[in-house]
Amino acid sequence: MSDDLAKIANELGDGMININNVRQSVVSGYFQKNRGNRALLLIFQFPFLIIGKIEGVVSDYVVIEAEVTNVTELDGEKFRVHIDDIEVFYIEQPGKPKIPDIRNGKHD
Amino acid sequence: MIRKFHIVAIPIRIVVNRFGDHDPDGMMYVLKENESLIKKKVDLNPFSTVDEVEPLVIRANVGDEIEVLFENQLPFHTGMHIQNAEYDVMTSDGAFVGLNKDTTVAKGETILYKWKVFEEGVHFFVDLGNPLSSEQGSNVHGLFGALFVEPRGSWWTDPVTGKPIKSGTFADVHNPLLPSFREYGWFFHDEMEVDDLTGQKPISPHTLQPEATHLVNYRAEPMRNRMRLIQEGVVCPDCEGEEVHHDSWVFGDPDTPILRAYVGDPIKIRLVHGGAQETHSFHYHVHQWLFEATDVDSEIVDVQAISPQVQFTVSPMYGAGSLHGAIGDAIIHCHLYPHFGEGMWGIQRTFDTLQDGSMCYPNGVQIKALQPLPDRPLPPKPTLDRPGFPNFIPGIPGFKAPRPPLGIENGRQPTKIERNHFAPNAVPGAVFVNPAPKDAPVREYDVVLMQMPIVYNNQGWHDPEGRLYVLAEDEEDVRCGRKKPEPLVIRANAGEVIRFRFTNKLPETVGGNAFQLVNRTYEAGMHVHFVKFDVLVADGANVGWNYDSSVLPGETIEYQWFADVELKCTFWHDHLFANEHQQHGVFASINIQARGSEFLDPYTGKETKSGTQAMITNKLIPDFREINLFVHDFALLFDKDGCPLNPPPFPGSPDDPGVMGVNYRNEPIQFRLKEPDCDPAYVFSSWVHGDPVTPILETYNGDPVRVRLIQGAHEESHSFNLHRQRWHRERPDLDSELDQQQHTAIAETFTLEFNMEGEGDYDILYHFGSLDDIWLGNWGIFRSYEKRVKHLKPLPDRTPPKKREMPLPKKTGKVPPMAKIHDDLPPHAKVRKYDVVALNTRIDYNDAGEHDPFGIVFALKKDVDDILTGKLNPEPLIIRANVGEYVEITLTNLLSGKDHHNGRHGYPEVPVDAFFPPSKRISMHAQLVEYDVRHSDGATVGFNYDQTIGPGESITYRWYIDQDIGAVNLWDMADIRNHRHHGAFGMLIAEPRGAKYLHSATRKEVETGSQVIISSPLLPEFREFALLMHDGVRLLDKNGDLIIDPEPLLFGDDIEVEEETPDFEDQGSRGFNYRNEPFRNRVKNFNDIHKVFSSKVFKDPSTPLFLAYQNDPVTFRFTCPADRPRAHSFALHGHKFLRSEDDLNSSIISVSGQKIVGSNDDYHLFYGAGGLFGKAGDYMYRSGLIRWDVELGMWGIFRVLDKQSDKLAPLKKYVEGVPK
Repeated sequence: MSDDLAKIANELGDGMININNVRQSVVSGYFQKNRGNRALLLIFQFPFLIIGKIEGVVSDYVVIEAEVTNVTELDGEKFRVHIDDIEVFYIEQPGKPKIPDIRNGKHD
Repeated sequence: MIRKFHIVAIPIRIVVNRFGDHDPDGMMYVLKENESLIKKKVDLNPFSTVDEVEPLVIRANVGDEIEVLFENQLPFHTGMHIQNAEYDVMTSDGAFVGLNKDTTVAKGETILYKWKVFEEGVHFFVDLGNPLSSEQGSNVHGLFGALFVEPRGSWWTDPVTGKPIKSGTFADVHNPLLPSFREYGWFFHDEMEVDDLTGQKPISPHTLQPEATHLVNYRAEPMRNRMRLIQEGVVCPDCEGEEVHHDSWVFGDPDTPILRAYVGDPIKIRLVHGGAQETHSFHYHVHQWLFEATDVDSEIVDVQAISPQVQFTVSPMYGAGSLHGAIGDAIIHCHLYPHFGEGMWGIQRTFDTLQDGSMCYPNGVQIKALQPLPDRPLPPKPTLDRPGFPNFIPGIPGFKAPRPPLGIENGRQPTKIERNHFAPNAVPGAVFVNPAPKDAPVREYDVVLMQMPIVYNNQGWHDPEGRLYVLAEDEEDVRCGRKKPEPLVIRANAGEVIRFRFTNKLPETVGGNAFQLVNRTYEAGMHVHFVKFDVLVADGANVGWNYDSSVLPGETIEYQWFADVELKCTFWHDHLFANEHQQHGVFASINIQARGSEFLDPYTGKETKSGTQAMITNKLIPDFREINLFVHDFALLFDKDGCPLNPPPFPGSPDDPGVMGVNYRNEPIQFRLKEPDCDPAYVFSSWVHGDPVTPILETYNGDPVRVRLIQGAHEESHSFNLHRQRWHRERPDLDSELDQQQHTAIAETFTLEFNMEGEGDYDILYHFGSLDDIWLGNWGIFRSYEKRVKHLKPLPDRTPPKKREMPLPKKTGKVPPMAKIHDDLPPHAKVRKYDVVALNTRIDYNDAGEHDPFGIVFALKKDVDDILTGKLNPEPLIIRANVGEYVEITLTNLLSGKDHHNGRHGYPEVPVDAFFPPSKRISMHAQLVEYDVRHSDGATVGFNYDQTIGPGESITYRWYIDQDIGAVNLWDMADIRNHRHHGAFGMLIAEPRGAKYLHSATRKEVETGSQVIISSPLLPEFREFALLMHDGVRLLDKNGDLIIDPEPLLFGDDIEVEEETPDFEDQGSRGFNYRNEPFRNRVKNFNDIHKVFSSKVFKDPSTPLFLAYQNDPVTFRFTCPADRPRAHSFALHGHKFLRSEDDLNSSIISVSGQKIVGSNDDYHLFYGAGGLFGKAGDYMYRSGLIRWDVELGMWGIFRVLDKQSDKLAPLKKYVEGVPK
């Protein structure tokens, strides 16, 4: 058992691993670790797609400032997305593909 | 809560407009308390409309019980049959069906009906005491109404006075928890026998011929009356007619419904089809709504087809004025142009200032008060500087609406009061509201509307007055033939502003031939759907008190549209002279793509600005190929010698003139017979005839595809059918049904999304379903390649196809070789095999001896002897297979090739009839299953090999049932003209894994049958009833004389009923499962008409009699295999089911519409047999078309038994989860 998991098991007090807590911790942790990076989220609810900079993580909510969504009016808005509502995500890392810009006009 | 109503059916003179058009023999339901008042008002106003004369709408809340004391004052039995409600069929069916008691009542009698309602929405009620199709029936005279069911705890008030009301089509509905909303009942109805003021059939002043009337809520505002005022010099002396038909400046407001609201008010239109025959196309300018009002995943629509006796709720998103709060008049109409012209329209009027009854319209008529909804902000009061809509518009009553400010090049300056109403970000084309966000990207198009001859096919069928939109930069290329004419398709991305310069280059007139009289068409515009625009200045129309946003020849106007998030294929067209020239090709599309998309030419790979085909690339979503298909009827074409093709009875007649097309092309199958055999089996073969001239989509295997389907013109239903590939009915909703067919009415748009599945090089067929469509050439090919071809660019994000070594096939003029299954089954595959024979046999349709001597049926081999010796009167072949199984059909051809004709079929006729001998070959095509199109498609299409077989030959098709696709059609593809309507069809049903199919009486396993028990180890047993609804049948009576249907059933010698000659689409007899029960064989006396469905008076009908015990789980499997373009609806008394079977959020209905060739549905009945209360009795299933389906025998009985019978084995009982 990794240290993280052991810690959680310890916190829960019963020695059992709660998979929901693990997931929450790992996903939230990953977003936390990548604060300041650009991320692409596909979420179940409107507006479905958010691309923007991760501002931080509050408990199990990711705070993201949208550069682009698929709804023009929501570009630039700040979203608080519950991690359970994220269906798919990608976070930009050095050396990995960049998230393309879908704003209108030419792009490479 | 119990709500009690005393409702009376009364005879009443119904005046439908202020011109005195009226039905002297009108009939309506009224509340008893209003009866004498209404009668008195009608007596006092014999030539005017009376507000209270409207279809009866009563209201209740979810969970209420309703008691109706019904009283009949009409001179025959009547009743009230309600849909969607729960009731005891023995006491409250409002009909006299099977072995039930009679729940209709004679004149002067009363009966108590009890209903219970559990769902919000429309509960339509109608008389079934007199279901005759003609003027002698009650339906066409208006005997229908509805119960609107509101959320629990609601109450309703009068929108004008604010006081509580007990009935009325319009109400404001309030609720302690939910927002108040404006509710408008909108009843489409047709076939009412309307006379003019003098009691004669109304005459069109344009054609000087009699004209029909189409109505909304017992009102019609047809063009003919308004046009007469122009011709008499009373108003607008320089006008023609159609361009001002909806113009309140010229004529004042119409008598049809005006739905009034303040900007942003929540709205529910309760849309009801109370009519008898036509499938209408409901269109609402500016606004959009969810296809399923109860499902947020649902598709967004702004046009919706509706068949007789169907109903649904239209709740526009963002309320009145839509997202952008557009004030002004948004017309609501049936988009079928002849209906629109004949009166079927009204207006949604959105005010920006408070109306307390102190203001007037510009013509001096009082604007009635409109109570603000209590939970909405109070609109500002009108002031002299800011009087609000419509009083800032500088028009002159009696003259055409003024032109909009700013938009017209070299146009007038705005007035000061107009300026006071400008939006802060006003621009030309978006003046009073501009939904475009600041800095939104702008895309610009220069569009021209012009006229040129368009040739539709290689045989020289042509439209000398083709009219089409083109981009200005392409005008010269199209005019001189460098670019082929096709409907204009442009594209934009979501979030963009699209700005247009539109120039009208049409000639001043059209027509002057066998199809049309000379008519001025001197104004034109661009009316668009879906995108957001300022309805006052950019509607491309001339409606109500709005501006006339069109231009004269040579003029240019600017429009602005904003494409918000709705990714749609978006229809646009002209709205000024649509009736006169849309059928010449005046239709186009703008396809709104996902943000960041680019549009490439599929053949050059370069960016493209327009075109019906493109590759759409995007950085985030998979690239796809896109094709727009515009289907089109009333194409007024001439042959190569200049003779009109299917001319109407007189020029200007709306009686189905002309032919059809897809993207201004057609490939009539009469030209694809090759001598000496002239075998129809090869009409689709490119080996024999080369490719058709209709659009061909080319892809590489696996390419994502979006088909943008639009009906561009003009009045018919069409049924898009595609072989092999499948899509979700509602693109955004993965719970929606998997489909391979789509009914379409004019102006509806659909996106069909799929990947091109298949191996090798192959062709798949698309066609528009009905005999008439295919006959006239509405079919084409999608072609997919396994390996690279030089001319077609691969999609940029797909793995490039491999290099091609073999050349592509070419026309040889010879019949292709036979197709054979060339791949092995996977190991452990479970295969279900059926030995099927196609044979000629007599089919007896009913006990009165009506029969088809030239029937063509598919049957199991074991049944052939019984059929041929007359022991077995054939039913359509109904076979089943379980999910996960392969099906192998070995089909043997025993056809003799005999028919009643030697080349010219005659009745039931097709437009432009021609020599077309019956084929002796046969095949079988299946919908929705998975298969290799190269050998198991059952059609000989394009460069595929032959999949039809000659006499004595056999072929094996292999299909895989990958998922629960329910019931699907099986049909012959060897000869659409001569085989299908004789019965060459069947049904395949996908059942749950492990299911067994048991005889309903013996519980022995069976291979076929319309009525079985489905037993599976995991699921509860259920009863399955299979119904195939078909029309276009050619029957003989017991003496061998030809029956010409539809012939209305009339009683009495002194009856003068002018019935129109039936359209092609209505010709032929009809039935369920090769059976029918026409009224003519049962009722001989008018006084007995209410008994026509009774098995006590007559016997049980010849149509299938379905049996179940109370609360047995029941599924109806329903398909529509043949034959004509008339859409039907399917109604089941006393039971409800989901509109979309797999989607628990879809609407709960008891009538399902738009049933047409290729339809397939599965109705899982709520609560099982007998409804919620499990009441025993006889429940009618039937068509919803009172004219003429029901009368011609499209009805039958579903009998729910309360006592055990030898004829029906019980289902396994489950007690606490353990089967006994």
